Amino acid sequence: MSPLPRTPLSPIGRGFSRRALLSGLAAAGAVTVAGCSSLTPGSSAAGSTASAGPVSTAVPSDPVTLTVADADDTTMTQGLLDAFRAKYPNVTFKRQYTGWDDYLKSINLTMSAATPPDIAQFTPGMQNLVPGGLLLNADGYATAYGWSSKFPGLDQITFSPDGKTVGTGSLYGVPGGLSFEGVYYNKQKAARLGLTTPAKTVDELEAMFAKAKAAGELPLVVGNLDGGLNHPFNELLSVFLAPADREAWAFGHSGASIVLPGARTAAETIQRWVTKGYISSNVNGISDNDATAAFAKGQGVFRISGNWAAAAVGKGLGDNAGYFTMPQATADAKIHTTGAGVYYCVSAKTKSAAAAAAFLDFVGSADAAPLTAKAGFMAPKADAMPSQAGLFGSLLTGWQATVRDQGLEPFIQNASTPTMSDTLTNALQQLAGGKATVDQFLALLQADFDKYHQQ
Amino acid sequence: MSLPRRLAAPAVLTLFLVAVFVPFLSLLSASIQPAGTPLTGLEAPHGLHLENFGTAWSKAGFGRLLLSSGLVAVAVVPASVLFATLAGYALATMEVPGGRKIFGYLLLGLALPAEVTVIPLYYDLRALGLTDTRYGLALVEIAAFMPFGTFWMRSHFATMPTGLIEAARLDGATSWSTLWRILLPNSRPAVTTLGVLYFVWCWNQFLLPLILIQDPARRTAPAGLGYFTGEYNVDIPSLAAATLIVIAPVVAIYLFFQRHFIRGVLDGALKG
Repeated sequence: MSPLPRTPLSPIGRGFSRRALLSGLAAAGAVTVAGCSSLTPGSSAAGSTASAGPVSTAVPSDPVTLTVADADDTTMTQGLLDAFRAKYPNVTFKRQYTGWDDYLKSINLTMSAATPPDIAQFTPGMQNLVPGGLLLNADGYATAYGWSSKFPGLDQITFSPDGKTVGTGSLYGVPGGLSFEGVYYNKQKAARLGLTTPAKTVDELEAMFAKAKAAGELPLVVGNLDGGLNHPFNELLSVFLAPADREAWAFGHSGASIVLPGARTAAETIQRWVTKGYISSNVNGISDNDATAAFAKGQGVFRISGNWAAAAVGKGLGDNAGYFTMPQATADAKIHTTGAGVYYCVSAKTKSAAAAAAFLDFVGSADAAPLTAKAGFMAPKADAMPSQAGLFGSLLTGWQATVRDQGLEPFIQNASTPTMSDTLTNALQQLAGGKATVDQFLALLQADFDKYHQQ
Repeated sequence: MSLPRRLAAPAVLTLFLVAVFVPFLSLLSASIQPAGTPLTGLEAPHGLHLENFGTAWSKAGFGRLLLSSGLVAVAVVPASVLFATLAGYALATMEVPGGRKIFGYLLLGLALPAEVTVIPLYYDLRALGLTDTRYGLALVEIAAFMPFGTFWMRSHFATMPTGLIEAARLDGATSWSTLWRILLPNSRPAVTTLGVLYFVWCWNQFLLPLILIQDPARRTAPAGLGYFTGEYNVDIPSLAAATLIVIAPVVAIYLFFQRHFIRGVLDGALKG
């Protein structure tokens, strides 16, 4: 594995409202894909170890058209496609962009069509395509191109043949842009309240919350209508839960448990923040997106979120927008934080696997890094990212420190079970609403895990 | 009538008017805010940013999406109205063998959510090579609209005076000409209402085009709204502008057929 940090697939941001439907579709899709792929005409029943054609790192020189399906609303995917085409003019891309929520609902069926897109953005739930042999097994290309030393976070898109366990088995894609979480703060208010940032420990951060609360400010802006409380919770798990335990659970290793002292501390911290009024009492009625908007408009003092929120926060708060990496349990602890990424995978039915693989390789190159950075993501090749000032400069510093400490950990809801996003949202809403105790909260999460992994 | 009683009706009407207009006003005001502004509620506009409509149109490619929607509606509405009329006529006026069972089966379709059927439908259409086409989508919508249409037209024909049909029979009219020359000319409100309802449903159909058509450029207008909903951020002003673009044809059709529509709805109520 690479010396760089591990990253999970994609956090739940917004759009939780359609999750119930989505997981239903994903589950139904999985069953049907697995059940029908050998029966339905037009579907190739390639085994999960097969890859289309002989592996070659030579980019084809004859004209090739690749269809690319994605849900990336930043400039990254388009920028990477344009840059690749400029380098290899014989490769034409037909990009099919779909909004995030809609993409999640439709992509599994799209990939099972007779002529699916050649390259697709990998989103949670697509591991269900692995047992049906619908995703290209990229092991051969990974060896040929030496991807293990070029990309961080490859274990996030490595799956067992049944698609249920992450981190072991075969590789199915690479990350284009990575993201990670930290603490945003309102510099003007922090100065007025006399807060010395950055907070070095969670205790220090909590003391600042208390000070802000006493001064009549809302300390931490959170929206949990669609489960946004998962951002502080995931971060606190990064702080308090041992990385090995965290990974085993987040990757769905059999026998893993979240009913552990570290996770207890994380959940108790969330509960305490709500009880003490550091998080607003109507948190379950505010969407994650609205919370970012409110913070960007000057409400509250702190907000725990990912680098994807930087553009909105920077636009709203201007020079008053500040950022620091997540404080740890002790001041001398290494950085542990939670992150995700935009991954690209290839259809097993593609006619030009070599060209698709060449694009995947290009994504991790130094040429790609400035384009990825410009779109607000962290590039796989971190040292090739251009330096920046202000809020984005703080983020870049945070990213480099995180990479140095190998501190990036997966979101617990992305790969543990297909229904964990819903379960976590529900459980967090109960915890924040005072309907569940910390024990009940952890038991809810564990019950979902056990149900899926004991089948 | 006492003063409070006289004021009751206007008060209730005002209440409903406000309930309808405030959200719409918020949509209107959001659509003219600077694109990309984070919004948290009803806000006074910061200037008039009408360019949102232009950028929303070109970014999400509404030209093609609206054309798609239009083609599907033109295929679906007349066909569904025709089939629903024929089925409703047969079930209301003729002794169809097993008619009650057929009707019961159709009613079951009313209770079945589209979400349940969409995945099997996808595999059925894929086997026929009809995924990713507008024909496939139109066929599915015609079928999906049958239960309500048959129910609607059957109850309409059942409420027509039986004497009318008997008189036509005595004069030697076939069942075909009874329908076309006697019943339908008296059914304009019911048929128009059904047509308008079908158009609105067809236009607003979201999940079916999303799942059955893979190429985003060939999907219908509501699918274009997802364009402004990212993984973490929603561009609310552009989304609001796009929403207004998408609902404009529906509002126009509704306003045009408004009188027929209301008459159609009331007809059923009075004749019970």
